[in-house]
Amino acid sequence: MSTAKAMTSTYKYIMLLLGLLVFIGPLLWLLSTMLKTQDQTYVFPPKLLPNPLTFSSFSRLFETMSLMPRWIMNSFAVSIINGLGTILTSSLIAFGFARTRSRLRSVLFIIVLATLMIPSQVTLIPMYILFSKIGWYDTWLPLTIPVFLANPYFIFLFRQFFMTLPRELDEATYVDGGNYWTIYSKVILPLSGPIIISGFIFAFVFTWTDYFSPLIFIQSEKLQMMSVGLQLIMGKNSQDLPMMAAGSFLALVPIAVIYFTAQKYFVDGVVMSGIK
Amino acid sequence: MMIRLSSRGKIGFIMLCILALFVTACGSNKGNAPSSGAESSSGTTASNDPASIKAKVTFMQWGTQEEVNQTKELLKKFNEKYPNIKVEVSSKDWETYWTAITAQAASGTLPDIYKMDEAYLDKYAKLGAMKDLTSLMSEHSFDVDAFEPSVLHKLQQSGKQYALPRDANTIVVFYNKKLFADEKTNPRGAPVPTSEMSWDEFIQIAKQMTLDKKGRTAADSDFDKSSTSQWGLVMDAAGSADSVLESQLWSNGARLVNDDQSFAMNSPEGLEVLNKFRSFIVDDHVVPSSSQVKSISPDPFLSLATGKVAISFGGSWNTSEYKVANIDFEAILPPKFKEEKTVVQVSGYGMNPKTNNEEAAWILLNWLTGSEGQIALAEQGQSIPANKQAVDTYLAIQDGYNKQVFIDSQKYVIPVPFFDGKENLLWDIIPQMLSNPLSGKGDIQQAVKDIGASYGK
Repeated sequence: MSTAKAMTSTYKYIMLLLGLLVFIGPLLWLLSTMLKTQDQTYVFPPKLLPNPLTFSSFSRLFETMSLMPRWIMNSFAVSIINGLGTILTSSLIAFGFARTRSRLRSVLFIIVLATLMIPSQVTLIPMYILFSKIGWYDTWLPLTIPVFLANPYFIFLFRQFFMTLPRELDEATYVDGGNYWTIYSKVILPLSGPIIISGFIFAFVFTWTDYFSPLIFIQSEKLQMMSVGLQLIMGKNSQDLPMMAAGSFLALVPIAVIYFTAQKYFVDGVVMSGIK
Repeated sequence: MMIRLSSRGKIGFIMLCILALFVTACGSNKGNAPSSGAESSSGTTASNDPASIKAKVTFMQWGTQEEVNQTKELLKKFNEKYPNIKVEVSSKDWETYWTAITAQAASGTLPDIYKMDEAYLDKYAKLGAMKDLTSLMSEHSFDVDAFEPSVLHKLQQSGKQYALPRDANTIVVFYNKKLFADEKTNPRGAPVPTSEMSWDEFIQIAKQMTLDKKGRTAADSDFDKSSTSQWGLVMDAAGSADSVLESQLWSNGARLVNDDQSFAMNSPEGLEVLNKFRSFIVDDHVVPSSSQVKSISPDPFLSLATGKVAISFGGSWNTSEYKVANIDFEAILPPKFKEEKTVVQVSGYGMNPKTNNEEAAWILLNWLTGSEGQIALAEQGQSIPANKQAVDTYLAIQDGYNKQVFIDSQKYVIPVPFFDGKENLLWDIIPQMLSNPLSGKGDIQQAVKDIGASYGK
């Protein structure tokens, strides 16, 4: 029996190791490319270990793209705004769907979910025209307001989590003279740490990695985001792969830091919302 | 694990943070952001002197940050002459540039001047996103003689000039001088290729320059095709249909499409070209198959940079990469079937038909494509200026290879304007449907039939 258990355990570890290799491969390649000189990236067959090893891609990145620090700060600002906005509005709407007793609740929820199925490319031109007409073009408003006014994906995520919290808590609050706002702010939110953190991380990462919206809605260089700025490294007919890898690495760092710092809550939030 | 966020103060703090960030963000927008295209383009003229015009012109291009920096350098020179015209530059990458142009055309927020590629001119001219410049050109006596007629023609639609040429990149052949000079990499002492060779002469050289791991050449009977370590020639005819295949079809008297836009590659001359190219891969083993090319370099034109390729088709823009890769190279005109034919890819500048500041926009356009702007562009050494008055400046910059070839190739340009739908044929249908048959997997004649059916004209 113990041999069988050991075998299963070994098998699991082998599978995990293989999985790890699959996922870590591109990351290793990114790190390797980032530390190469540009001429090493043309070598055939390609070599994993950089020789000589250099950090010149980073200096080249900031020399060529003088606005890069600003773009990084812009991405941070918009991602934080959207992360906080998501917590605030999506949780409030999700609370309504999870806790109120309206007949229209299910129908409205289906309508909200149905909007998830419309690809953003379909609404691009109308959105673009709308934002241009109301003077939002070339500002951060198209990047923040739609997310700030709640997103169906996060409404769904929060609702699923709120459904797992016992209703008896609401009833007890009613007995004590509380109303919906009291239940939301003093009962539900304090118990929703994991999903609040997960929601923030998701919204942060979605915004941080969003390429399409800033590309279309932002024109001025100074207002641009890092995701779009990175694309300016690769031209139609030219490539500086180490510089691209260095830029990608910088884009990766905040996500990695946030994820590893809040990993525990993040997993709890996703598991408890039933999304996993 | 749960966190307690129960105090009202904490919620209030979060809301305050959001508000503060939001106000900061919106506030900074107003401070830094230029206003949208319509608002930005208001110009005032103090007198009839163009230098006194005060205006802000919006300008958009595709390309890397480095290219944006080069444009800004160029515009500094423009501002020396026109100090009161402020040009605001923005840039997108090639792929999404066209999405942005479409969206901006639909919403009326196109920049005053924007870069245009010959491949998309027809489409955007038909969409009404480009101003017909013909009358402006005659009104301001624009010097059309400074351009090759074929170059100007590429930016016309129905005889009207919708953009003025900026640069004319050409596709030529490059070879690695070091590989030819070294006995180890050239054991048979093959001569270097020269311009306008016949394909038979050319492929004989390529055979001698294709080596297996034991150093035997493709011209030797015991050559091991499964262990090629050095390729004689890299040419992805299917993947480079616009830059290699079409001109070679012309070279043999065939066409990709007729003047009425109908499909024409299924002629005997067309099939002869395709069968010849297939034999280089399947019978002679001197050209890698489509999948092998991709493993050497994602961009076939950059395969020469690996140092494992003796000869390769390449664009004039690839030379900077070859230099970075420390390749000692030379440029020659491509080989021919019957006649020498080449491809020149022209990009230019178009004008927003709804610009509020046509006068300043024209001044910028005229400067960028006129002798002053084109000489400034030539001095940067990155692009081949389209204006003939700047050619001497471009050639005067010594780069260690024969740049005259780029200029000479303009004499043999195939006069094939792009039209809406042709880009799909060149960039999607042919690469997808011809790569395998050219590599020996599938019937060429059937593939050509299928390509014609998919093209639908």
